[in-house]
Amino acid sequence: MIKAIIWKELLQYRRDGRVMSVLLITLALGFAAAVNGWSTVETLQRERQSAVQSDRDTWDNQGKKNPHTAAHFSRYAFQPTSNLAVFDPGLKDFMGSAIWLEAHYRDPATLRAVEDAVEIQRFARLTPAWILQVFAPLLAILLAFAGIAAERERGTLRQVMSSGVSPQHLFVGKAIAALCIIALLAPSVIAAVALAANTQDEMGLPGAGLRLAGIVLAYAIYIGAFTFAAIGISARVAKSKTALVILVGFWAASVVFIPRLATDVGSTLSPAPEATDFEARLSSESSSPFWGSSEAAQQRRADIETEVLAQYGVDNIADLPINYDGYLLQESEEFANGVFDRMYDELWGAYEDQADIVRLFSLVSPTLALSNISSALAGSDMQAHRHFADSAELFRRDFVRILNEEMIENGGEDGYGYMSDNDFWQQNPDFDYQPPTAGDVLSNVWADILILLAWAFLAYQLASRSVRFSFKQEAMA
Amino acid sequence: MSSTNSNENGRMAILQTINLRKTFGEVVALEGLNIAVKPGETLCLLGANGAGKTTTINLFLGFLEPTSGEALVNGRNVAMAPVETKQDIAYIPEQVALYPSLTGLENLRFFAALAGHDKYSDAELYTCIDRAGLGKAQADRPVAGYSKGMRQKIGIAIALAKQAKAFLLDEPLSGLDPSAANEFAVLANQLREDGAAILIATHDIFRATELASTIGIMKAGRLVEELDPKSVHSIEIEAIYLNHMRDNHVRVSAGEAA
Amino acid sequence: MSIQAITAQEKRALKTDPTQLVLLVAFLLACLYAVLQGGAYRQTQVEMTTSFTEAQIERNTAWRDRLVAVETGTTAPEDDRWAGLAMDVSFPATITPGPLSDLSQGVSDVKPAASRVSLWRSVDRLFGNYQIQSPIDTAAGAFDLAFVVIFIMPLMMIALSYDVLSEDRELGRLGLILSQPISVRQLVTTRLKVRFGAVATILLLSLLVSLLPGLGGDDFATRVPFLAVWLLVAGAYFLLWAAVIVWAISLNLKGETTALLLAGLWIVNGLVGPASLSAAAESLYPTPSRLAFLSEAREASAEAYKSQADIMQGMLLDHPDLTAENYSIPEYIRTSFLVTRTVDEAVVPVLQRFDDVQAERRQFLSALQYASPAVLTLQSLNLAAGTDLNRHVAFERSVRNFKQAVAEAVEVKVLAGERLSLADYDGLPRFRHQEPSIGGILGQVGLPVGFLIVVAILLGAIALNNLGRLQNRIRES
Repeated sequence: MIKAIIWKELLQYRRDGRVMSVLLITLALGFAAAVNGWSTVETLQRERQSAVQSDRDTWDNQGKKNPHTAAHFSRYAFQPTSNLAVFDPGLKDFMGSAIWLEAHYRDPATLRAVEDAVEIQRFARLTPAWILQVFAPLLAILLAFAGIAAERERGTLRQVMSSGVSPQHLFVGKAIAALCIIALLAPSVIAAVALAANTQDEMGLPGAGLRLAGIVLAYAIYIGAFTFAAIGISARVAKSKTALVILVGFWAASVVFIPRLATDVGSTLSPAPEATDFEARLSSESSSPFWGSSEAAQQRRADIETEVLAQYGVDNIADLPINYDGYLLQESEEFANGVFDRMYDELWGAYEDQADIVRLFSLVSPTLALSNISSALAGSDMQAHRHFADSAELFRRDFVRILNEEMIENGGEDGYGYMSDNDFWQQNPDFDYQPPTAGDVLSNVWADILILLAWAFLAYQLASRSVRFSFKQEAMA
Repeated sequence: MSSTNSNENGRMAILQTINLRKTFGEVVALEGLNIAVKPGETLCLLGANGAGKTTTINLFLGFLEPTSGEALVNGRNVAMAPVETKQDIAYIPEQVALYPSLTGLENLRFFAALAGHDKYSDAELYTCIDRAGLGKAQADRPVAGYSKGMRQKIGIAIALAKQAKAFLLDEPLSGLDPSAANEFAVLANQLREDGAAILIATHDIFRATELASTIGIMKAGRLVEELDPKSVHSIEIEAIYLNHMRDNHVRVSAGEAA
Repeated sequence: MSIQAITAQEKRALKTDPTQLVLLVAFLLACLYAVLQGGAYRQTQVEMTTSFTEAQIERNTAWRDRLVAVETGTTAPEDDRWAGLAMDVSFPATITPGPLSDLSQGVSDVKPAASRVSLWRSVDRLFGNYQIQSPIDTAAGAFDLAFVVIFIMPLMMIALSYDVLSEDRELGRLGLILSQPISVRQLVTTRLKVRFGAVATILLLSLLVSLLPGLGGDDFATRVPFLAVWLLVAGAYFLLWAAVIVWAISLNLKGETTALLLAGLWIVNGLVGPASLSAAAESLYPTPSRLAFLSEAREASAEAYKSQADIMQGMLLDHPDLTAENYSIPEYIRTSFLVTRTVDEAVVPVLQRFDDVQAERRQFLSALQYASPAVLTLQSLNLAAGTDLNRHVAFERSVRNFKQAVAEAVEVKVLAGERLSLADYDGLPRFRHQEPSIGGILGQVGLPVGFLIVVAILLGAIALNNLGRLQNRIRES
């Protein structure tokens, strides 16, 4: 019986020009998005590889230089792009991709793609994830808004009921048929995945298969939720046009309006520090209390001196077996690192509070929950960036320490005049970034997963109850 | 006169009600209804709007639950087996509702499959359509362009494909032009002769006399009169009917007596 | 009489029909929220620019005071050998917040707005560490009035009016209404006047609110002319949608189909169009690799550092008067100046290339914006608001030019190791950004606005004609 319903629904969809044209347009957009995503990621990966290479070359061949001058000349950490970013680039364009690893300072990531983007970029982005997030629910609405309402308006519902069809059968048959049509979008997703597999895997995202499966599942749940909701509303209201208006309104709110509103409210309630202010505070708080002429700073430096002299059992800096300038530099780094930790924790804390507020809004917009899950699994969300930035910062500390130690151990009396050469630079290790595991990622988005599941469950309940309700109503008619 | 004894004449009634009562809150829609339609019989229920004709049909369809009493289809209580009993019933409303973008044949295939008959070949379905009086070419056109009469024929084809034992026809003739109505009447009589049990709810006294083996007059939820059109002339039936409609206080009911 | 009756009935319906009222109240809230948050945003921008400039001026005054002290003899020259150090001149360069950045934030949130122009930084480093804004916030874009106008307003207009004719027809009421002395055209236009009028009133009201002192800024008089242009653009977009909706209604379709048609147009206009256009612009005119640029700049600075002896030699050949003996300040200052200048020379053409690509894209989009009224409107609104890409790119360029101008002006003094005189210092250029005039802006938005209005008029005329013919059809049937 369900088979007959599915067959009939598919036949009707096949004859519905609107459905076919929306399906074809969405498919075409999906393919375009896949190619677009692939070419972007491929370019990014290629550019990064040559940047990494040239960073290494420049570093290795910088010639004779004082290690501390080299620490200012410094190197870059370039964020790798995950393969899955072909499918969902997430927030990638809005976060920097290169972090300067200079001594004395922790820089934010620079080179945000959004700064090179055109003005309309934030309206709409042609990525496979965006297409699915926006157009798949729209297709679900188009397929299902008339599902029950039009049967009632036409009188076929009564006819169907007289054939002994139960509400559950009708609901399941219609849902499966609509989902079958939406599943026709799969080729564009498969294309994206195939193209993703065809990029240079520079990061080796751990658990890529699991992440991909998670993504597919999340989108399936999301699309299911919209399909159920559409059938539910269609069964609940009197006319199919009312169902259409309600559903399109909900869709527009969920996909277009609420995401903007949510982040806006988020950044109002939990504002990130103002940039020039943050920079000024970061450099003054990390530097003046150590290097400054204040009493506390002088005392701090005097204490260090006393301690080092005692440690080596000498009375005079000149008698130290190590280079004291280098030692002081390393001490200042360690002092500054505490400040960086504090201020960046504050910064990330503000971001995360914002993310939590946005998450609250996903209670009214499943799209928000889905996009969090999707970009997290694709390794292109804020957490992925934070993980990278934190790893890069740890590397910076090691890297600067190695340079300072070079000066401490070999600087002798020359201090700032001591020169290292290419032999030394070439021994310095590279930044080897290890991305978080799929498990870590899931632990960040469990709330979003729950919210999305709740949406799907509620939509299912709405649909199954409403269809039963519509049968009752029709029987009374 | 019909009887509650369904085994009279050795044949079991296909459509039968026993002391059927249905109320909607304070309003009594049906009161003590006892009817029985056997294979090869057509019962026409005549009555004004709200007399309980459609309620009776809805109770047979299991759309409504009786307040008390039973509606039986082929001996089974509808309330107990709402799905199974529907397999024996063909329901043809005033306006046969079909899917406009599907052809007549496709609509037929769908509704037959809903009733569990999903193994029909095209040829078999065309045969049903042919018996319902529709051509093959017409059956292959989308229903969107069908007239009311053509839709009704698809409705009958569905009933044939279902191999229904009982037909519930709700105002099947209203809105049909005279020639289509005549065609329908011929078809309905053919079905009856082939052994179907038919229940028709209608306003149309003239057509009722043409179609019915028994005419029942309903009023305020009660069956107030049962007549044999072969023994009573249609003009007389009309007079009796109008008399019932006028007289609000008369309580002479064969159904009640039985 | 009849028209008045319809108007009265419509006005009553606005008050009594909960759906329409709910929609209008939601729209009002969206407008007010947008205006209030926009006001707060601009306020922050103004404060940031002001406080940044003030801090820089304070710093410069202190610097100048030291020079004054040396010149007037209060300080002996040998006691402050750093006073008036030519290499140390620095000036603030800020872009004034766009006059209507509260109404359309445009790209103002991702582009740098302030720089301390210093000779110690090469031109690729003039804007540092401003990428502090939350990526979530950046990605979503602002919930500003431009967003409300472009996205929410048309959807409101559609929801309020798609059923204006079909409802009556489907309920079989139309014949009765038209049997009164009123034409279809009058019926439709009168009803729409009331409904669209309500939308327009709410929009105008919120624009008035945005002018309240202390909301968007206190520069009332400066803002008003830009507001007039902004309103012109928004008004043209409103007219276009009004015409589109009347046209859709005049097709005399089922209510459901009209709603689908209009929703489809809304989606193509606001989502599909912008996504395709921005993807096309970005793939036809790809941004040169920023990462490669970073590497080039580093390579240039490493090379310049390594070959500083040659650079020095070249300088001495150019300026035979400057022998190595006649300066009293450390050598590294002169070296830094020359190294930075060499880097500047290497990176300026590359930066120019980035600008060129941006310009090509903008040109492409200003040609193709006619394909999507949403794109056209957004670009025009940003232009009027002073938050368009062009203005920000021009700002960055003029900061770079300014740095080079300052460097040229003090070059001889730096190389000679001489102190700047007070007259030299006061005669140095100060940063001034050439702002586009209101006339220029009008010139740029003139064609797009004209286009919107012409299309609106044409569609409106077709629609009214259709409605006229409809009259006959309905009478005949």
